[in-house]
Amino acid sequence: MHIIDSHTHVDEYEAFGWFDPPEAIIELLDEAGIEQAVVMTYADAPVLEPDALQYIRDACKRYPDRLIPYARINPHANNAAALLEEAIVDLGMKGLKIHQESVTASAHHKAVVSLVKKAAEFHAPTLFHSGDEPLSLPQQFTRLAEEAPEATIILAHMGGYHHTDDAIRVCEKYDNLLVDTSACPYPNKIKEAIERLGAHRILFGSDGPGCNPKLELQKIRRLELSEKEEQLVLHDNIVSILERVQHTAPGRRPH
Amino acid sequence: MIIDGFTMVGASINGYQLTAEELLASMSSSSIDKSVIAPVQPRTYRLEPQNEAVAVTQKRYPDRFIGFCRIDPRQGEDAMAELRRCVLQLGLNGLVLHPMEEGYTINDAPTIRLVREAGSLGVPVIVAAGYPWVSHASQIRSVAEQAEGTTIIMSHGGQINISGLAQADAFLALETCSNLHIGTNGVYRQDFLEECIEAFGPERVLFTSMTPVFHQGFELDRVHSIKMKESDRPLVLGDNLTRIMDEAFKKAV
Repeated sequence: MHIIDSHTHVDEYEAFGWFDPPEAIIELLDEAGIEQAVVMTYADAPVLEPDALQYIRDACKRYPDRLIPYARINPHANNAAALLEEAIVDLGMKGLKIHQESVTASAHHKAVVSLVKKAAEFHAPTLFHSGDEPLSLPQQFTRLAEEAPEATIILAHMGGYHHTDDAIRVCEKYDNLLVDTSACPYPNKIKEAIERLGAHRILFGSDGPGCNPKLELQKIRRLELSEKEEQLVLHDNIVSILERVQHTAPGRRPH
Repeated sequence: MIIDGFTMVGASINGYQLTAEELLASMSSSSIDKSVIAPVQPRTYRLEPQNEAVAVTQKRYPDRFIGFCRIDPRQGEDAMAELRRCVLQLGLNGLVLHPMEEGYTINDAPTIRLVREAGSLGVPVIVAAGYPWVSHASQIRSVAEQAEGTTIIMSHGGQINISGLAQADAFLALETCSNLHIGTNGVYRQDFLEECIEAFGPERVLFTSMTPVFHQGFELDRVHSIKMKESDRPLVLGDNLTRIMDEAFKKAV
């Protein structure tokens, strides 16, 4: 089966002490038998890392058959919308990543909502951090889900350690919310999410290279899903999301 | 020998439960030889009968289970007496502290007294670690500094944060307190475990599943996925716990 990891990182960011050039994730993907991965930086363009988008673009140029680029952008930046448009139209990126703790804004902050709606104009998904931290709680996504019903919004980590039930609950309420499985430490909760939300709402992700993609894949295999469910989680769901992305804007030529 | 350094048996008021027989079945399916078992917090709020039940289970399966007691330090002198009863009379081999579920802060004075007493009695202490406000690594570090004679194992790698933001505190705690160790259950980012092993040695990291909160088989997968010298892996999988218990016993006052 062709497997796509919907959440990984490439970056060399000294402040966090995480040095993961593209070769780090490629090696781990090979070890796990995973063909492709969505990649994003650890730091946000343009505030913490002015060249973040270029770094991702270059990484994906080196491994065009393996890596799929997302733009990690700070919504507070004055040029956030323009950067996102450039990322999708000119650099061929497929989605937006927002880490609320990193940008000090929750999912319902007006700058965040505005950027998510901008991504949705291109039918591009927004991958959010979700977890136990004060700006990343699953229940904080309800306002965004209501204000941007046209957006595809993915809650990474399924709510972290103590908010997995909340992540499932908000996804039950809003059809435009999905979850990824990355680093979720509870295989049984992923199984429960599949039963309650349907396998079409669950994306396999690892959060590699820090989190080992092979281990994260083992977690999915432990669920003993049907062949059809596994196909959706490991491949088809993210493909159908990425296929919808449009790389054109009024007055702009596609990349 | 594979030893799971932290599991809980019983029916918890927090909604999870596990019988000794279910744990044995789980261990068999993952080829785990032994497990540390500790009580859950029961619906009655009373831990003493749970400690007795663990002692009975340990006696029934001496080759499979290592019993630890669980005590609420806020019981003051009664907590101290319960610790002595559990170790000296019931034959339990360690102390589990769960500040999140019991509702206290790990570095309050009564807890430090209890942790010191555990060291005097020759048993290690497992702390359900990483919970914001009550048992984060910097708080446990403070305990470790004030109870140098006690070996303390922090569950969750000493940090519960799915952004990795608490790892620096856990790292600092390990760096500054040689009596601190970490358990592997639920740790975000395997490279954190790898960095700890590289920086502090494989002797400071122990396989813990904390089942039934976490999945025992998957937590064992996590240990097998750590990139480390194969010759050192047995330490993490069980030998460290055996050594820690032996050393604690020898240090008993």
